[in-house]
Amino acid sequence: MEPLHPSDPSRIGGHRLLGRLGAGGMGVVYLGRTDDGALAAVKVIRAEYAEEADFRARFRREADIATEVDSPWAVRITGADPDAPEPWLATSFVAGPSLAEAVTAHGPLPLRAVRLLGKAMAKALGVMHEQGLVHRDVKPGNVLLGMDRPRLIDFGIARGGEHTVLTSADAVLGTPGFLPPEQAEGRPAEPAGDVFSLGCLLAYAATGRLPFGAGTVDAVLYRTVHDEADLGPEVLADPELTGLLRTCLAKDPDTRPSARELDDALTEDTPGEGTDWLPDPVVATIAERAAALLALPGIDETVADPDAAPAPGTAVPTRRRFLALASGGAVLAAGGGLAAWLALREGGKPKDPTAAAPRKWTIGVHADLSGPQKAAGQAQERGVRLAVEAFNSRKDKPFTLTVATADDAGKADRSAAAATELIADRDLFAVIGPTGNDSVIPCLELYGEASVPLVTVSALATTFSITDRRSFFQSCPISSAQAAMVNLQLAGKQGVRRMGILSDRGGDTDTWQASLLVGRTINYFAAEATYYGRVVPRGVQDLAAVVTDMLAHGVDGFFYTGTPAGGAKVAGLLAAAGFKGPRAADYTIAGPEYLAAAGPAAEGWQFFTPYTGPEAPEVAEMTRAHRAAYGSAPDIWTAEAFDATRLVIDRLVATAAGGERPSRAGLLTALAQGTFRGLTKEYTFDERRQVKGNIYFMHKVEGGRMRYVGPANPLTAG
Amino acid sequence: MAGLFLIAGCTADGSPKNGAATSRTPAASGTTSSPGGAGASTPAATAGGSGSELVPELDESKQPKTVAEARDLLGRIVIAEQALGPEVVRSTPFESDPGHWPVLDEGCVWQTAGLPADVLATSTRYFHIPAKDGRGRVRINATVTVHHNREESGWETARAMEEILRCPNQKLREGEDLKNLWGGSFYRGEQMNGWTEDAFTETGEYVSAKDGGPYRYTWSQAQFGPVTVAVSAKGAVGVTEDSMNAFVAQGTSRMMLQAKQELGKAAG
Repeated sequence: MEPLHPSDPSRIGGHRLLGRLGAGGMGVVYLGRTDDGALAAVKVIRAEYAEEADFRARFRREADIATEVDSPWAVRITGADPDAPEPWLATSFVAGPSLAEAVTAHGPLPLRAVRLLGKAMAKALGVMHEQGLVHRDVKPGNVLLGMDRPRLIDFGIARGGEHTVLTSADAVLGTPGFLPPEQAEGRPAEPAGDVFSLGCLLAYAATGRLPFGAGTVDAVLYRTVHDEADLGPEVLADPELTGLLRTCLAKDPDTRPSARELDDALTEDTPGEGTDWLPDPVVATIAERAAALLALPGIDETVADPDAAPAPGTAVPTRRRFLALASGGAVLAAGGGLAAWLALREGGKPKDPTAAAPRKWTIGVHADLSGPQKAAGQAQERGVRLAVEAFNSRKDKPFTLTVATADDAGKADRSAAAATELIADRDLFAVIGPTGNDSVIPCLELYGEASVPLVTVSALATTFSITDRRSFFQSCPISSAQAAMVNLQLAGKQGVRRMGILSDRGGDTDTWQASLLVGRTINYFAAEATYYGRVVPRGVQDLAAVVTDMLAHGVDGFFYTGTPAGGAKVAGLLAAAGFKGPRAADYTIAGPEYLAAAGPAAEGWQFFTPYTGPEAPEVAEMTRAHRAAYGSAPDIWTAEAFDATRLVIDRLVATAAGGERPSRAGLLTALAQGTFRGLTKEYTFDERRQVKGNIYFMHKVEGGRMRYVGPANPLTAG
Repeated sequence: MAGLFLIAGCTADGSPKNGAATSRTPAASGTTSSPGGAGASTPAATAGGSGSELVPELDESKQPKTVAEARDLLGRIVIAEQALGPEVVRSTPFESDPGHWPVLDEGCVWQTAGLPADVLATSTRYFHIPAKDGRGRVRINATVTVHHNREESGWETARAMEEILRCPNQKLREGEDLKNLWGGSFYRGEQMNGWTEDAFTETGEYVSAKDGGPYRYTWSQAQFGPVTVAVSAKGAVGVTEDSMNAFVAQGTSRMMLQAKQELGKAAG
């Protein structure tokens, strides 16, 4: 993205402009952000075009229609003002590369991806055509490959309508090579023309070449009108696709299929959410684009202080808080690594640590990506990738990072293999993970012997004490801290005087520890409080007798540890008994399974977690970037993995500041020292390499979902 | 062979906290109190290697159905002093009353009571290592309890866990106290527990009016099907943590092995 030019406005129609996405004959397309924080592409038409006869009327009509176009495969119109001196139109912003960029950079797509793309675009065109709109410029540059799905952009609105194709050198309407013959001959655009263009686009996606060749505009247009399309061996290998594309590329518009017919004829499943259908390098590019958004200014400064908005042309706002945070904590981390490196470099001794040896700089992810905790593992991998891409998007980065992943499926017996695989990569410095407690012990000695720092965010058990901890960092407070938060809130603040504690051994050993700790610490928070505890063996299905017994012992608050299913049962039993006292459950049972099984009985249950809520204000920028990258809000644990990765990067940069490539052991030493300010908390490790400060966060079930309340302990979480 | 390997593995391998589970715990009755030494130790380490083949499949047809069958089985699982080491001797009394077992009362004081319906037979044997050369007397108890089935064993462990949840400090008898007890429980497969279906260990401090303290206290239980076995050790002056762990691991391993041989499908 290009910075704003001095002549560019700073705001248009409720959008704060952040940069230029592109410029053409008719105007400029800006990246903007609404006051809600949503990113938008804002297309502004030059006043001279707006003065043309009936331009505004047509613009208004088309914008009105386009606003009605509701297709997941087409970008959404979010606003327009045909009556502004320079009319503008805003669409939701897709962070990914265009198809043109992807094919240029990584070559043609596999045929399955071509068919999937064809279906998606045919669906988008089908909706447009039914609304009476013609796109007029279907081409690879107008298809964006987003994290969630491909989208057609640029709806033919304000493109000049019945203008001839080539009115002037800088106002090419339609794109030679994709332009249908009838438009090349100056006839009006019809839906069938879009189908022809889509045929060209698909041939290009499959081969990387234009079906009517390259060269001068005249030559290309001549071949479009007179010659047979050259589909290339890639397409010809698939007779069915060849036949279909030939009908799309028929010279006679009437013999081409409609967009709907093309959709039906392409025998492939519609692509689902995500990027599975695309080749890996393209996916990586998409992720990079999305992550680059991390470097954009957030909304807070704009909304809070509109007058302080930067003057037009100052591309870099002075308080780019998130940029600073996202790129290694340079500003807030005392003695932060990137700051140190920059200082050194600015001191006149630019020593490029990568110059000596062209090696990669790799951060590993050891996670459960396919087992019982895959949601957490995948969320953490995303956090790592967002942090790495944010760092890589810096112009002044001292090196470029890559990410390597190893999946242990949450199984203890696969953990060692995952560790071995990562450690074998000599370019790897540190690993974020593992996800689950079970994976920890089998890999600790391996990482320890290799001096590879292993930074977990979610394996927070207290019971790894006898194993080799040389390399092991726990970057969220260990689970034993939970008990204090439960007691602080339920006994200390919510008035519980006789706590019921139920340890269901269906949970792992750490959940029993949580129960035991609640009993042991309750009097620190309420001197007069007592408790009544019960334990049930694993496999016991009927919890009614135990819950009844606990109620008979006069409990006025409740803490459950165990399993999601068991927790849901207890919630149901307490609800049926009319129990209204404060009730909390071990955070490890929180999630969709628990919420679904408990139903309305879950309402009001509290959870005290080592992870913050994805909706917590302090992680808003990360959440927004995630949304742009993946099309959805982040799951729990993403922010913590993002933070842990930035911590590692910060220390890596600091260790590399001398100009030498750091050793793993050097990084290990550096990680144990100093303080790093993350989005979620401050990171300092104690001698056991557990993060200092019991920062827990409070959540409450409301309306069937977990609602983030805030830090559980305001005294320490500030 | 397999047995030796098992024992060696368990002894050598200190795992975090294992724990077996029984609910009646500390050998309250019958322990001889005597001068002892101090000793602090650590959690009973347990767990042999992670090889889960160390736990055979339970042959339910071999589970005792009557008190007589249970006592017979119990007799083949209990250990004598030789199993613990050459310096270990019997205390007096040597065995608990077969009709009673310990119960922790409302005030966290151990009492004896009749057997509940889900216990077919139980026995605790009392041993000690005499004081010698500046080292105090180490008290070691070994308990075997036989239920009808695995589920009853599970509830026994759950009750033991409830006791430690309720009473971090427990009185064994007048002049003998346990303080600051902590417990850890590990089903097979958790935290390297590959040697028993369920392990539950308590550790804390032992204080004696006569011998002083606090000294290290460790109690470790393991379970196979309807049988639970447990060993407790009370430290004394000059007793190392490692040596206490060794006695506990050796005792529980031997009894566990015998239980598996009696009730396992791959009995050896």
